[in-house]
Amino acid sequence: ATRIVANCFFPAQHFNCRDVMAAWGEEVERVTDRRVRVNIPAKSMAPPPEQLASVRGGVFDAAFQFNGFIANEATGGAVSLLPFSGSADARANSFALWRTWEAHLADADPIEGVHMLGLFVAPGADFYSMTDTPITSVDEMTGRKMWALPGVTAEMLKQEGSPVVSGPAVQMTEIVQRGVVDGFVGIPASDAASFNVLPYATSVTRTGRKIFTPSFSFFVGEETWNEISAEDQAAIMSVSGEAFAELAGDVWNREEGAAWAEIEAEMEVVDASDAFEAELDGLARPFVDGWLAEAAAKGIDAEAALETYTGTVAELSAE
Amino acid sequence: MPRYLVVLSRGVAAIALFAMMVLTFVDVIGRYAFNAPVFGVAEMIQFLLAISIFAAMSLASANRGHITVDVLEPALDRVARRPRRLFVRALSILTFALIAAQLGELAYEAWRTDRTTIVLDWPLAGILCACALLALVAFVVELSGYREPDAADGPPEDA
Amino acid sequence: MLTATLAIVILLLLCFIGVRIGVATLLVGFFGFALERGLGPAMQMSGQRILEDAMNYNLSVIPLFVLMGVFIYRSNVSDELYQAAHARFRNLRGGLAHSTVVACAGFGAVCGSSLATAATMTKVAMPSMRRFGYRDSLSTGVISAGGTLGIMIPPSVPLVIYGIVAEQDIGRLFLAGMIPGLLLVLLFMGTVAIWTRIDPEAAPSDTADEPGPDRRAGRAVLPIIGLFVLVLGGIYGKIFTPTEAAGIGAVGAAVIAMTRGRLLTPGEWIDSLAEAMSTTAALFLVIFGALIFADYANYIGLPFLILDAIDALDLGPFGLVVAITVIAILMGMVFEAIGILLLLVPVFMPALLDADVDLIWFGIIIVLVIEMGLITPPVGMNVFVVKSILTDADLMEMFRGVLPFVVAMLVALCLILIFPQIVTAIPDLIY
Ligand code: NA
Ligand code: NA
Repeated sequence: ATRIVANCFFPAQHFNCRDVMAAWGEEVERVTDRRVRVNIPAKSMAPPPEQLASVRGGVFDAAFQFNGFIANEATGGAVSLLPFSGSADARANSFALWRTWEAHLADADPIEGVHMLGLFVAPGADFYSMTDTPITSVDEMTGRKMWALPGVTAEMLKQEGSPVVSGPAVQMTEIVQRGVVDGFVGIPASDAASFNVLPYATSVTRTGRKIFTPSFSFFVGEETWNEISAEDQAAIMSVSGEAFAELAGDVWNREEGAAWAEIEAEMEVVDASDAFEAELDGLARPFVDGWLAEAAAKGIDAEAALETYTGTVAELSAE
Repeated sequence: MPRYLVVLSRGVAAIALFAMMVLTFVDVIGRYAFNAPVFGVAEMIQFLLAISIFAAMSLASANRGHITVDVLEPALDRVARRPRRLFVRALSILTFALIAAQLGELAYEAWRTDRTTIVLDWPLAGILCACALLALVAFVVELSGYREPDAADGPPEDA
Repeated sequence: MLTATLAIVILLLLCFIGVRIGVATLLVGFFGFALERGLGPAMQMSGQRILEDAMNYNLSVIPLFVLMGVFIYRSNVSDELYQAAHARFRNLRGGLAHSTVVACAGFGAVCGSSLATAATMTKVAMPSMRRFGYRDSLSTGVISAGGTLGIMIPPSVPLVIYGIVAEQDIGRLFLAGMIPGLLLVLLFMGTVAIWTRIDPEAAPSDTADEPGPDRRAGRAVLPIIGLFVLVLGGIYGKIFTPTEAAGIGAVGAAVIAMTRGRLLTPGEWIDSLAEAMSTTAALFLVIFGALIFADYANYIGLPFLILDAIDALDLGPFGLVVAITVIAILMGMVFEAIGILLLLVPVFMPALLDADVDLIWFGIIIVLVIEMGLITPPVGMNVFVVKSILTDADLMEMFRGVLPFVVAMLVALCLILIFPQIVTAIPDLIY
């Protein structure tokens, strides 16, 4: 039997380890009649940014990797990280990214040394206010001190002259709890719930498309993959790819739903006005253009990839 | 030679720890008194921590401050004093060599892929290279068998 | 199963012949992993692990708390604490021994290290106990045991390390350590009282006739209380992160030292800083090694083997904790404190989570047990430290003197096992 050691960098009790990776592993063992076994170590064996490097280096065989950490080489997958590309529906986002990958990226922008098993996209982030006034315009947001996720989210606020506080998401709890900031943005509701920052928010402003949707690649090292017979490879792919997008998306939507139940009980929920969304789209434009240029330079049909992604998200979210 | 290396590491370790202390203090004062926290202070502290630890590795080695268990040691020393000591020392040297090599490899990898830090966007290779060099110094000190002549003023080294 | 057993046996063997625990765990973990996956992957895995720990923001609390302890150690406040305690207890039989316990607790409230507490109290309390004819077994026993209060009463370096490995809130752990710390103070004083009652010759002289300590004796008490309240209040009130609290504590301790005429030259600053980093680096070598070993143990599935074994034994949460406690007590006889913490906690974590054990409660138990290990023979680091300062003392007599205090700690352990409220009451009240 081939053993796939799959590493989950989330804490061991996290739903991404228990309900996504482990569930996938069981499916793989089932469809290959246990000719392929999946083992998940009890604790992550490498820091989150080093997942791809560790698979290539042979530390373990398969892993999730946050696409933001590998954006310089997996440019295509970063389409899902663009501001206002994804929606609140993790299943729609994940399915759309897999479809985009198959249609435009698998050949033009493969990740060297690994075989892609699946892609998944978290539900998007909203704007949380910790003052009496909800965030309803760009001025309202940039006039206050916000915690923002490092990367595009923090950059977008910074370019408007906002005094942003940023840092790794796991360290945001203390910043929010200590009242250093008047709001926060960049993480999905389920993360906000698990980081214990929801009780500090007074209102949340929801947008249709989200300022940030964390997305992840799920891959197995090429050497390990090539050890597996073609028949078993096909069997594994039947529970990966599209099926994996649905599995991960459903689990994430379930968690997100629970977090939103908490939010609705605790704070005011405001839907962003069309004017606010248009303003935000304007802020996002340079980042979208930047990605289009970068992806095109790598030989990706960037316009088409972006269209497939956003189009599929729109089509599936509407369902 | 090892003596000067230890003096150098000592200075680096002391300065890095002092900077850590001052930085946390200034950050807290800045945050509460002037509403102006230092940007990226947590990341700076992370780098200072790494630098200070690898600088102090050679101190810990020169002070013989590493923690041992020493149970059969006295009994073994009666029958096989030299081989035991050589073996134990060889393993220590090997460990320091491994640490230096691993850090060197990571530094090279960071330089090759042009990695920068998450918050401050600093080149990671520079910091890793410093860590690797300091670990190399610790390896040289360990290899030379150098011990500080007087390492007794102060509390013993453990928690 | 065979690989796991072999790895543990080799690890123990290396430790017994005198290989540093950090070196032994690192090498076994490294070469074990290399056998499983190859040398390159082993290099990468351990390099990443070392760097991740060396750059872990949360771990920066360690050098800063150690530095705070070094400053406090150098400020000579221990003398004044001891005098102040003695002013209270001079009329009790064994008053000097009671004072030692209380002064240890006071020192432990601003110092996160057990050995530093024991070392400093040896210099402070031993001369007067000898002058008044206290038996060495009693005086060295009470100092060695009192030293362990340094890591139960917050701040505490082992609790910080446990908090990081077990992913528990450090402020909560510190709060949880307070009542058990006070409980130990009471039990140690009770031990002194019983001992001196059964065996009055152990503390013969009635020091009540001596001229009382001078009135300035207590002047260290207020700054110490102030620093304790500042550091811990800041953590509990979420005003500072633990790292910031430790940085502020170090600055406060430096101020206390400077007002006492210490730390006035650059040389003394560099000495203190380098000393703190040297201690820290030695600790980090243990952390690197133990966590690389944990990665290897993880890879070969040791945590799951343990989980299965525990399922098969059907221990239940309480039985599981008792079983781990017994293992830790046995390991505590020979292993170094942080090493036990870092070896046991990661491999038992899945089983503990599975059994739904309260990890704050468990953290206090494991720290109490490694404290006990610091004074149990044959390797009791606290006893060795006292001995290293008191070169003429007899080691056998010292270990005999420590035993009543080990019994007191076992009583504390049983109480905490049976009444978890001792640990959880304060954190539940405040959080
Ligand atoms: Na303490
Ligand atoms: Na012991």
